[in-house]
Amino acid sequence: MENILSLQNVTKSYKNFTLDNLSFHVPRGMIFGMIGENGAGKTTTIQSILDIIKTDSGKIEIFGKDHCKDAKEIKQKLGVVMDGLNQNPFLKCSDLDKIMKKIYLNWDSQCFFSYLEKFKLPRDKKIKELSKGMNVKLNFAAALSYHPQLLLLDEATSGLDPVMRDDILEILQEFVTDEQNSVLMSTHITSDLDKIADYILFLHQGKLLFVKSRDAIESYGVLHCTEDFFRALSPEDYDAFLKEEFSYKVLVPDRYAMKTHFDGLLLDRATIEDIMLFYVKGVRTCQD
Amino acid sequence: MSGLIYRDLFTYYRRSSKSTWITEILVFFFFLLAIKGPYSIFTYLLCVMPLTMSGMPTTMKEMDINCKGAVQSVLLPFSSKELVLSRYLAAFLSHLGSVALMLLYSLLHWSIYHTFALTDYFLLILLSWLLGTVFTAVNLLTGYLGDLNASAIMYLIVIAGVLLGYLVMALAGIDFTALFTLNTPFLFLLLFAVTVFITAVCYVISLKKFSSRK
Repeated sequence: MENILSLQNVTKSYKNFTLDNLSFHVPRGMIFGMIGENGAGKTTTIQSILDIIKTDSGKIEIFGKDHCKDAKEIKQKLGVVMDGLNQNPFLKCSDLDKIMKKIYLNWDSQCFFSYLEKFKLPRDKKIKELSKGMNVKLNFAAALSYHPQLLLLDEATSGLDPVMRDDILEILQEFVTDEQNSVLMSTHITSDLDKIADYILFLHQGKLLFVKSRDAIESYGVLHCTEDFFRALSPEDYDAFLKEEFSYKVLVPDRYAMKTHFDGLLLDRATIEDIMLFYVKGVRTCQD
Repeated sequence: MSGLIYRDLFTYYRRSSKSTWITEILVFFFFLLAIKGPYSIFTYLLCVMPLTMSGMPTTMKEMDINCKGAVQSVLLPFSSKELVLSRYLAAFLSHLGSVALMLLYSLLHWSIYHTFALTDYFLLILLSWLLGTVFTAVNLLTGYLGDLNASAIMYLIVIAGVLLGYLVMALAGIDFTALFTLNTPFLFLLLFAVTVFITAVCYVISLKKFSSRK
């Protein structure tokens, strides 16, 4: 599978934070969800990819090209929606069409106006008069209207209500159906990723904890058990555990296998949020 | 790059409120009808208009900071050189409106009062344009070197400097009409060269600063 984005040993150091030797690849046709607590390095990663900040070392390739040297060409095919980064508030929604068609070679006015209609955005209203949710929708309309191949979303859906978020998730799924386009989205709303992500990339304190496929994530389970049962488990059976007052909660990577071996267990499917909490707050069997 | 220039000019136009236009019209007629004599021309053409022309960089800097315009720009498919050059070109292109206004003012003033020969009016317009260009370049440079406060302070310094200089010259009894008797082609060529030099230096420093922003 061809990679649309690849990072190799990317490092960026600040005074109190280091994005440490980050390497991962996003294949075409995939939705990559990036999770991690605040300050884990998600925004730094996206800003490095976008060349907003300069990395100390490492290599970033987008569409197989160097993200700095070929930035002009790359950005023609790169859509970006970032939380809090809205269009100029003094412009009207329809003004964006006039401006963007002079900037993007593939700008599609018809597509843009159809998104405005779909999102119920008034053409002649000034952007500063739009609500936060409407601004997010406008950002998506603008980012999708030049037919990018890679969408980078940084907390992009955070201002949207659940109904609108669902609509956006549908659009993102449509976006990758031709297997040429990909999405890398960082979000705290992990339920969105439960719905659409093909891969989950987990950052913690500037380090990559894991990249796991949807299938791998879906087979995770949370086992509720007594201390005796927990003691009987081998560390290979689980990834992390949380000790509660009278019981143990254990994150098992293969709940189906666990269920086969031990019948009658209280074993729930783990959501991405569960996995994240176990990895951050729990005791991990393998601390890298 | 034309898209970037268009974006800057269009945003600047949208940013200007109705009160801005009304003020400009009031100032225009104030110096045309209320204040008479050669000082109205000198004040309007050599003080008011160069300062009006040089206002765009500060407004754009304000939008770069408050509306995250600078980050938006970096995401667009353009090189650093194009981003800086387009900002300079947009700022200079925005002068055309002021030049048109000065031409209109001069024609009306000349047809009403006949204070000077029409060519003298044109010389003043040219001088005003050169002054406006220098002030704009300095304001643009400040925008790239400093934050929004630095831009605002520099704009105020330029305004204060122009007004103070003009006042000192007027109080010292310097006859501005002497300008028309000088060897003007040589003088303007020299002024043009100085303006180009200052603008080029400002641009190069701005580009260096912008390219090393990360």
